[in-house]
Amino acid sequence: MHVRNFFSGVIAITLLLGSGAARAAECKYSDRSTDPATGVQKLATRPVEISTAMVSSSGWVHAVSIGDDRFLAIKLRAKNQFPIPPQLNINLANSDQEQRTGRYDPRLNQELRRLQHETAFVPAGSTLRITLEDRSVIVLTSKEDSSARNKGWKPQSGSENTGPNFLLLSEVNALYPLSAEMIRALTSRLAVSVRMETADRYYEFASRMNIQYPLTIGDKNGRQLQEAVNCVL
Amino acid sequence: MSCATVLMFAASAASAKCKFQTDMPSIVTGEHIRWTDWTTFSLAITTTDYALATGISEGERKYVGLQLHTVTTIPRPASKQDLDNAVVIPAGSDVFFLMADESVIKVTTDQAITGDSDFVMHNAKRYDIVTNTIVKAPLTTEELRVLTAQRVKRIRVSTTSGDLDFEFGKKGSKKMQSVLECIQ
Repeated sequence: MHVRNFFSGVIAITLLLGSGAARAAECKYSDRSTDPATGVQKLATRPVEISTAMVSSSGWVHAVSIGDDRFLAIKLRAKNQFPIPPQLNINLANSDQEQRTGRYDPRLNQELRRLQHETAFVPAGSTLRITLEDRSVIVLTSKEDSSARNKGWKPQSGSENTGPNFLLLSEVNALYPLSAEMIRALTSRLAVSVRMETADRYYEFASRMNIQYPLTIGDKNGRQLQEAVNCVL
Repeated sequence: MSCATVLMFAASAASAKCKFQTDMPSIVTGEHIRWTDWTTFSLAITTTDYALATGISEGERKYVGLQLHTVTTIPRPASKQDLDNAVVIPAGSDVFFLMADESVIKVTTDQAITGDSDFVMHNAKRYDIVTNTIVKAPLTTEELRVLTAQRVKRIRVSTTSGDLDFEFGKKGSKKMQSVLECIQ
């Protein structure tokens, strides 16, 4: 009798350890740390890449837990072009020479600084709208300002098609708190599309191969996003 | 073979063709939600403006879903306000279906709709606001019966900035009928 109980115990422990190992193997984290000051544990899953409808931008989404709080985090990498404001009325005929000598019209520097400050900025209260496969919509709201790291180039003579434009490459990380209701929705239905709001525009994380298909992040990405949320519960 | 058997066979053959992109209970209401796959119906598909249709059922309620793809050109980068106002359809707006016999079916939207817009730069003086708007128009049993029985020639959707018209070809009209049959 004791021997049978012993074996039952061993089997139960093995199964428990096995399921834990399997879960750990499924969940991969890019950050698994504990704050030395507060002892609060942080988990961040590896990012799931989701493309935007506009090919010039791309994004990654991952699930994050900090202590008892849960978040979705988005990394947006955007490429934007901005024309020279007409009121500047700058003649760029000598721009190649200016580029060599580094002597630009100071108004261009000023405009570039303004664009770098404003582009891809995610103010607190910005929305992240997720449409789920049952067509329900959940709207997450950013809790704090997130500024982008921008790298900008001043206009040069430009191509025939685009003309002289400021070119800005931006990268911003934004964090959106998840409520229990949102977690329930995200773990029981696949995400179909994701729309991120910034101070100056929207970025739609969804694409379609041709017009017959709806805008979607795709089943594979939807499942990976769902798994990511499951990994921080 | 009895008439009823033939009808049942025809109905099951029609439903076998139906493909649904959404076919599950809503996590919010618990009602069963069905959206057929989108089908293109508008003429001149090579131009910038085109439309797709889907048949939608939410519990017992039936809708025709229209996905309108429109492009507006402006001479500067779009502001957020431009994007928000590109296509706005308030609740209670009209959607007209001009039928083959020149009769008109008018249905009314039951929720406010704002199109999702982004913009693309073509050159320093031309920017296109590209808007994707999904309109859900509720249908009565009678309206659904007429729309599946007769050819639609044109759809007009009223927005705050004017009407959007989409013409049908014969093939497109049949495609739209086939998705609506799937929710009957």
